[in-house]
Amino acid sequence: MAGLALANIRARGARNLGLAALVAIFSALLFGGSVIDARLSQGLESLSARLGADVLIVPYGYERTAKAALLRGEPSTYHMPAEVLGRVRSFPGVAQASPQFFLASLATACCSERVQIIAYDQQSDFLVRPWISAKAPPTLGEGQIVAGSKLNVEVGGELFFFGVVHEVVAKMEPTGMGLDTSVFLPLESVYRLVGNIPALKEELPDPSGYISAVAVKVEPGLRPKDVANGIMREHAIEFNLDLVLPDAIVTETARELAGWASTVRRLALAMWLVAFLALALVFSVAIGERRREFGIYRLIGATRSWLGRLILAEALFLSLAGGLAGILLASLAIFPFDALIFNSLGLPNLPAGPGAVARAAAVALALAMVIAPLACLRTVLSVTRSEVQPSLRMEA
Amino acid sequence: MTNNKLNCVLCLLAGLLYIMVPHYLLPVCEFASAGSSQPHGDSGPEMAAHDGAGGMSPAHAVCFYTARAELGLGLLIVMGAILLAFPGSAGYRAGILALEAGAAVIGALFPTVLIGVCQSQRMPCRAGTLPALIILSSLFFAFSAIASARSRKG
Amino acid sequence: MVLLEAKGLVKGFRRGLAGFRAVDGVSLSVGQGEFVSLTGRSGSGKTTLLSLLAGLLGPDGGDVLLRGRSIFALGDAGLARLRNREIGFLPQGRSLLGNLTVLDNVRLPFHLARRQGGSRQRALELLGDLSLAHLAGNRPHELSGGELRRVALARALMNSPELVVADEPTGDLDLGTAASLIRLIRDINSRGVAFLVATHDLDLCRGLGRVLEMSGGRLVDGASAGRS
Repeated sequence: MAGLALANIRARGARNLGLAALVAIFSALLFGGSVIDARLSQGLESLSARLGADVLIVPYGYERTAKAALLRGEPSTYHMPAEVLGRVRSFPGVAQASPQFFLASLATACCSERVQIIAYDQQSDFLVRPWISAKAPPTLGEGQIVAGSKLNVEVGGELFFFGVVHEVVAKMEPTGMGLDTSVFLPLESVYRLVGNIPALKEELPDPSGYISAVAVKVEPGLRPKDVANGIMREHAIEFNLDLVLPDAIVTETARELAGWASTVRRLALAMWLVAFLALALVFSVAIGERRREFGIYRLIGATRSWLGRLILAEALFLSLAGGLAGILLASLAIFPFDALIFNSLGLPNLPAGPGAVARAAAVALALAMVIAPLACLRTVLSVTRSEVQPSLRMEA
Repeated sequence: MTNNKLNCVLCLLAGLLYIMVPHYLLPVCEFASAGSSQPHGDSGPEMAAHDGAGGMSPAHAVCFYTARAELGLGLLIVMGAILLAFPGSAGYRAGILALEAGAAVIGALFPTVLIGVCQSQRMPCRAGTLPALIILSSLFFAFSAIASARSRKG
Repeated sequence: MVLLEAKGLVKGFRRGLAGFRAVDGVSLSVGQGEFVSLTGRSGSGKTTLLSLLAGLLGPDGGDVLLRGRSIFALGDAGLARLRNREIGFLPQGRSLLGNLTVLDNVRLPFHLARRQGGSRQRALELLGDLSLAHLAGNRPHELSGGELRRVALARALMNSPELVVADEPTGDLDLGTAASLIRLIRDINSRGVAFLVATHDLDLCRGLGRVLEMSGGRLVDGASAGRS
């Protein structure tokens, strides 16, 4: 029966291709949407877990720049007086405060992009260290750096910037965020490096008097927003400060994600309905078109239920082909281009586990496979209720 | 449409894609930043030793040369498509299609082994152009190899 | 031994507001291995009678017995089995499936019967007997009228039925092809397969067996035409 069903599908190739394409579009939307959603959700969980700080104090006007650096690793250089650190540390409600210095490199090698250099205070840091692999040395010495997971250099390799060769002693675990394309080194090292950059040397004759951000952890039980607002009220005008609330980034991103995911799900549902209606229409028209053919089957000994099973088999093959094609197309569109997609979305990109991908494929395929059989149910019922009579008189 | 006409059209399409993908559709870094309003300008690809010292005029990034090579390859593939349109024996057509299959292989080798693209995953050439060329080459290779085999049978 | 027997078959249809009887009280029988020709002008009721005898239509009156049992007592599955294994059909017009090869068309009844074993060999043998083996891989649209009819005959014989019912088998064929087909049918009949052939070309079937004539839904020269 399988061979006959396939032969029948091939006989109306163009039309069945169109029907299978409808199913494929549905399956591609659902599978693709689910995979991207799973990866984005995973990235979001990672974002929430890895942001670490409750509040980031940055110079005024650099809030967006700081977010871009955090999420997408867009390199930037900015600074504020180091005195801010002491003021923030002593503010009521602040449990920990650690300074960082951000510096955008020039190209480290042919055709590579600028990277974000993040210098941190090894004594007070609570952001960077937890995400460095356990094999790294406990502290970094002069000329030693930690490289983000997406930088094309291995442990033991070297990176060259600002006229100095740096040894990579460890790599960060993947974060799906801008940290993956950043390098991390001690504050002291960066202060020495700044001396090699003429433009910055002019602006910062004493680089150790400047920082780019203060990462703050608030006392348990306090709301980060309240502490942050207090700091701003007290010091914003004096030092020209701004703030970033990482939790807000997560919430904002989650909201964007939910909106996006909901749109894709609605599109997929619409597509399911379109495919179902088109298939139902075609199958019900086909019974008239195929009356002669069904008559021949009945004449040579097919029962009504056999005819019904044949139509169901054709429907199942159509659905299966469309479902698989959709998953394949979505895979071709997503997996090779995932960096492009997530860069454009400006959202964290972590690979979804094989389990999540398999689940998405199984669900998409299962839902795709029921479209055609459901759509042809009415036709099957009418055929099995003897609407088709065998006849000795065949039309030419 | 006869098989041969279809083969011509598909080879023509493939050749045009090899030209357009690295230059317009999913352009390499230089063409992407030339067309984009994003401030890629000073975060674009630069050569080594241009570390704030200045002085050296920047040569092209490696992905630029890949794009140029794919342009040349695309033109060759288009020529193959034109040759296919001329009447000829089964062997003639099979031979041209076999050459097109070989071109597809080279089309995948340019951005990976022979010339290359930028290293960083955030560069447009690595994120977009490279996977697009590999997929295009795989599909075009499969099509032209099968078409060549079928042409041989007459 | 009587293989197929019709007793007082009646079948009416509506044409517009009026009704008419296409078959009006016909009784006949076909014996094992017998060749029976059913002649009559177009519209005399031949096709309707054959359809009733094959269980393709239900009668308004009368019965059809196959080896003594009423075929109308069978359900859909029973009738399908009857049409698949016990009676072969050669319908008017084109009755092959265009999306299958000649060989697959011939094999189809075998697979509908869900029989075990290979159908390919048997189908090729049948095609060979009918001088069609070289067309096994072709599609029906590539065949001539005569070749199509012979393939349909091969299909009808696939499950070795005892009786083949043929409706105007030479209907749209030229004389030479028609004669050739009748010769083949005669050969198969000589091997023990009974034939009931409806035809308006009596010359072709002369001398092959019993001839029954239909007119206006009845058998001419009496209501009953038993085995001679």
